[in-house]
Amino acid sequence: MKTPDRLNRVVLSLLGLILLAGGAYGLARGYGAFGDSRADQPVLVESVRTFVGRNDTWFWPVSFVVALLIAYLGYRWLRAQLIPGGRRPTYHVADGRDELVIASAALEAAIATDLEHDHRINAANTRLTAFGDTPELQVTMTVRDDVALQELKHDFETHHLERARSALETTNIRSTVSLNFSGQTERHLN
Amino acid sequence: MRTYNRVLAAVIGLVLLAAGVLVAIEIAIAFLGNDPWILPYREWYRDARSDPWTSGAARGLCLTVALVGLALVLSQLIRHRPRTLPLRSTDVATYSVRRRSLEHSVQRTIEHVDGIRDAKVRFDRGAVRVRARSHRQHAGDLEPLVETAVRARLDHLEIDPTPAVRVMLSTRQRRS
Repeated sequence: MKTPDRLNRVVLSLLGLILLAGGAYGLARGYGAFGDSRADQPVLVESVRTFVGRNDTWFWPVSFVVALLIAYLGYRWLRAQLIPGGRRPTYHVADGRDELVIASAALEAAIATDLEHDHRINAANTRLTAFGDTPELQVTMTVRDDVALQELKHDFETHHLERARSALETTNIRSTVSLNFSGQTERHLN
Repeated sequence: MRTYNRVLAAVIGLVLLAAGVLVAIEIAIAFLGNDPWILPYREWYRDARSDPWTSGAARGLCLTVALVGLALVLSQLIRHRPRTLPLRSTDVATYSVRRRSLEHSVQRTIEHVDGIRDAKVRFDRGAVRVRARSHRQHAGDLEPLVETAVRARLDHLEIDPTPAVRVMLSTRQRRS
């Protein structure tokens, strides 16, 4: 499970537990689990009103900031769902006194085209993100059912990935490859 | 699961964003001494001061909150089959295969076994479960043949860890 998905699961579980606990407490109190006198108290008890009234010089400014913080966290969470895969970096490659800036999309397209030139690969989709300072290349390949997988892995690592490394002038690329089978075999293709 | 959680997270994120902004605006408006803009918080305040925990409104609200929380917790506890299965990886790359794609691929492998009419394949709980139908009346050695074909396919792919293989074969019923 990738990190945003794990985060979603953790946050949704926590949120669920908080709502469940809050709702269950209110129900228990309303049905007299903590005594009839507490059940008959108003939902907003006097002590809370007094506290807010006594501290209204800082209470409302703090509430304002907390509300904006909640809105910001909601925005970040929403954004993480709409733009999955993390930050889309640009890469700076030094060439003497010049500096070449490579956009992720350009490199992704080049790697995908490179992969699709391999007759064993029917289709390739690539995505370049950053995991901290390390570029991460996510590849989805659709291959024939009877592809020689060891050979394909070897060629991917020694040719395609190597070319990506050399384009980015780095030896440090994390790579994840997800395979799909097309249902075709070499016999069908000939 | 992943898609479901993403949609849910997007909806809740949007709700938090809207609620946070709205509350902040209402606080700012109240600070300037103006009337509420959208949230009828004066009515809410009045009700909260007068309604006891035993009131229908309080109980209804608590029940709704508890049910939403319970639904969220249960939805996260339900175990879903993985979208991908890990293959043996190397120092430089992590490999996986889409589960559904692999199920179809193994199904095609089985359907190439002589005597098999069709098959259904399901990867679940670290095992491959195969339901195959033969057009023969007697299974003979078909079941081990299917199992061998599946194992060969999985060995070739180097699924890590290697799943167990369970085959259920049904044959054509003899007409009386």
